[in-house]
Amino acid sequence: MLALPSLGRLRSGERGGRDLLRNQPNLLGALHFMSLNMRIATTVINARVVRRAIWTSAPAGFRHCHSRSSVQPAAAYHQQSTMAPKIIYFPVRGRAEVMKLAIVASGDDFELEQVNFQDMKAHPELYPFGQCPRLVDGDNDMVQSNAIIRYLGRKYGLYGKSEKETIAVDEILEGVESLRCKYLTLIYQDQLATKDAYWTSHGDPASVDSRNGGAHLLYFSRLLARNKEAGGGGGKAFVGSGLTLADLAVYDIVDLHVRIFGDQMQAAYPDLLSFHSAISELPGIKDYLASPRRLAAVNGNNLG
Amino acid sequence: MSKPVIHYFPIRGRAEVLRLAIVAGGDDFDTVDVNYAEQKGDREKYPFGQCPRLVDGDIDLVQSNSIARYLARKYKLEGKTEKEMCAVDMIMEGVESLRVKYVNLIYNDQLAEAAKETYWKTYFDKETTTGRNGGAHIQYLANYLVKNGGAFCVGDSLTIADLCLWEILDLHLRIFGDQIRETYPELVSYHSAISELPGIKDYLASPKRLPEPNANKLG
Repeated sequence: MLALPSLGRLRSGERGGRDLLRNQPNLLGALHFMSLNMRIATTVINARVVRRAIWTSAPAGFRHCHSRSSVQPAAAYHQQSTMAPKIIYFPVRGRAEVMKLAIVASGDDFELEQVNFQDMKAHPELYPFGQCPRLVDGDNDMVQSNAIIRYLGRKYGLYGKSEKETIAVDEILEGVESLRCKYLTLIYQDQLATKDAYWTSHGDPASVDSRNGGAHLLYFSRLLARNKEAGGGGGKAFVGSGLTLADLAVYDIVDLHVRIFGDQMQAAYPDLLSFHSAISELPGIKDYLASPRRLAAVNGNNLG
Repeated sequence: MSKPVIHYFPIRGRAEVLRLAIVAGGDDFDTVDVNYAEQKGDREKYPFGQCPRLVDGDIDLVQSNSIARYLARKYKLEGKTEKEMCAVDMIMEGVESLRVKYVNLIYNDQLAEAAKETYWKTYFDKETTTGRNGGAHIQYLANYLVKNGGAFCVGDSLTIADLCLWEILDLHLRIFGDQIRETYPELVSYHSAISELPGIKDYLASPKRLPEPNANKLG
């Protein structure tokens, strides 16, 4: 008789569900476990482990037709997938990456569905601003990436443990958004042609006091140091001592910039790179980053 | 209890929603003209080199949208349920998308006629809601209001979402008054009704309501 997992949501760092599955002798054991009450199973299983087991045993023709990263491969999973939050987006990392990190860092899993521009425009009731990502989680159906991130922050306890911490998380989310907007201009409008000017304005520590619309990597470096001095996180957390949305947002924006400005980042921001490594190693995040669910395509035009 | 203090340029700009939140909450605020040297030099007080900044007791923060959320929590303007809070956040993001376009029209395009026409067509014309607009179109925001009965955007009472929508409408009424009155009468009624709310009404009639929305005196 299989031991039932304990109820309750996994928090970042807990490995109960995953270990439980690894104790199953074979795939059959895993499937039998899944056929138990899905509502109980959903709250603790790291779905990715089982999904990968099912995927690799699926017929080759099936695997050929469906993108590993975007389609639920097994009918057995369909029941479970209605319990996991569903992210609906273009088939890129883009503005869906931070929310994915929030979900996996909390020991939960997500379903992914593709959408295109025409679908969105045709369904204004689902896409009230004609934009994605969209998140469906139980009876919550919402858009606006920064609203979704905050919703997930409340759901998974990633929004700070006090009013002051919540404020700090919000400040950093806004600061990341400022830099993200500049990044998106570099990618989509300038198509990376203005890299040098971009680094000068938004990366080079020497230029931080020039006009930059509140968008500069040095601001994050300072905030990380400030939190470290205040006794929180040891250079691995932006707010307090535990993981927050601020960490995930900065992780993502650093990750995007390292891809383009690797050498300059190494020279100017070893602190942000250390932070980036530390976040990459967190349970849930580490597995996600190594999985096919971490999409290869970062931006819609394949730049960056 | 000391009043919250807003540090900003002597304009409405990105501090106006914050002022409205404070007065709608039945409170009052003090204003300090930001010291530009301090804004650029003091990394503790101005971590992003920008204002507004709010000092409220031992709370000291920047980023207008973060300040707005703090004030919303303080004055119970954030929404009463998780769903309401999500709707408030979505509307705030939608207003921000439009505000960015507005700021560009004012500071970069300097309200040039051709730019104004393109602006109306892209972000206000009822025929263009399915066009490419970066999520910025007044109809998207009007839809929330209309679906919710026309008095408030979210739930059955004032939230920070209403103050954001009111304020962005107010800015656009100054530039596109006739067109908005013709095309979006429901938004104009809403704007009037919110203006009459206690706290807000008195503030709007007071000298604390600064004459200039923008630093370059346009709009």
